[in-house]
Amino acid sequence: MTETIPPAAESAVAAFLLADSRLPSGAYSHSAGLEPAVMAGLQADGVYPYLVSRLQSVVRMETAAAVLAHRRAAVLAAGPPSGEHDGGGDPPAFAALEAALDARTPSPAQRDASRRLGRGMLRLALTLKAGNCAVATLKREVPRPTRPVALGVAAQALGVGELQLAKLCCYDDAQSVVAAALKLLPIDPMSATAWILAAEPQINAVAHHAVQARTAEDIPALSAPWMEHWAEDHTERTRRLFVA
Amino acid sequence: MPENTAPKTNHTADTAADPSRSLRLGVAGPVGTGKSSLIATICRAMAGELSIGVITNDIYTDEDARFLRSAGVLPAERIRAVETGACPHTAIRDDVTTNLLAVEDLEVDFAPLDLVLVESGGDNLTATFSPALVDAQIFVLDVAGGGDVARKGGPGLPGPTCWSSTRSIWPRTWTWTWT
Repeated sequence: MTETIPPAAESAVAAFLLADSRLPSGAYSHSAGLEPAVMAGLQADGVYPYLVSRLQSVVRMETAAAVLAHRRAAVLAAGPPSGEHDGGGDPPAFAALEAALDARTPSPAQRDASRRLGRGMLRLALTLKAGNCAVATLKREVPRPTRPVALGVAAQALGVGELQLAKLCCYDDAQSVVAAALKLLPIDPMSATAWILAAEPQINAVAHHAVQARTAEDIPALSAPWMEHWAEDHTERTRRLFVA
Repeated sequence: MPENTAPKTNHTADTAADPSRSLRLGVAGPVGTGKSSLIATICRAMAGELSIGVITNDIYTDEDARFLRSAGVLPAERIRAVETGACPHTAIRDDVTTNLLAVEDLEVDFAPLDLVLVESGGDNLTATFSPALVDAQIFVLDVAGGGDVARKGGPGLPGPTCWSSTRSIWPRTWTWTWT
């Protein structure tokens, strides 16, 4: 009995891989801004609201950027259409996405943290899919990409679909918050996982909104000023568990 | 039955025959046993013959890196600190990505580099380096701390290529004045 897998099928395994905390991409030292918030006074009862606030601000922005990066990667991977060198002007180029994200992230500490994560993700993509045109293009055009752009490109190269990518982008951020909270605050780990499930409607909403983005201007510009402030304060600390 | 072979990835080409790749040596051991001092001694003795780089893993920011830079055994730019997010085990064993990126950056910036020393954040018997990160490792013990570590054992003891027992190497007149 043979099973033929349709070539355009999305890879569930790749999606699991990118959402798995065991993925070697160096993300364990990041708390999605939770530690800075805790050091500013956030307590256990504030973690779920913090998680949701992130989904409604930073994550909306990052997910839209990841989706656009995914789309750009798909165009590059498909190769140039006949008679045209650049694969269409519709999805923005990687450098344009990076500029759009930078414009929406006033905190240098947050930009730096995103690029540290992005570097780990790019390395992973280069290891797994070195021959992939989009991965090589990203490495050439933006050697130090932000996390959402690197994630979008890696996801596309691994066969993860657009909506899947959007959801895992949200899920990954939520899990980063919860995992960090367990190291910092007195919380029952079992009940903390319930927060991820409780956030599912918001995760779905953010993901469905993100896949409607078409241009860099469609990337939401919703800032979270306190998170930015806390992130900057965090860079001055010497006694901290997490980089950001 | 068809034979299973691993898919080709960039890794197989990357590490084996890369001429710019240095020998990577890990130094692990509990806090205060003399890892930084051992590394400083190696650098002082061999910096004239070998091109060396050092990566330090600190639990909090870059204290070890600053110590090594102040010892003046290597140009400061060859000593880089990696922040491990209070997870010294993870950074050298479970997910070595941040350390690997730092090592590779050093190898590119100072090519050709002969030796890269990776100092783990001070930790206990269970901290060993992943072979993905280092080619060999030294586990440093302080025998003045008593016999518990050696007697109890742990993953750190049968694994490393070489043990360094600080009190038997250094002259008895050597006093530890830095804290």
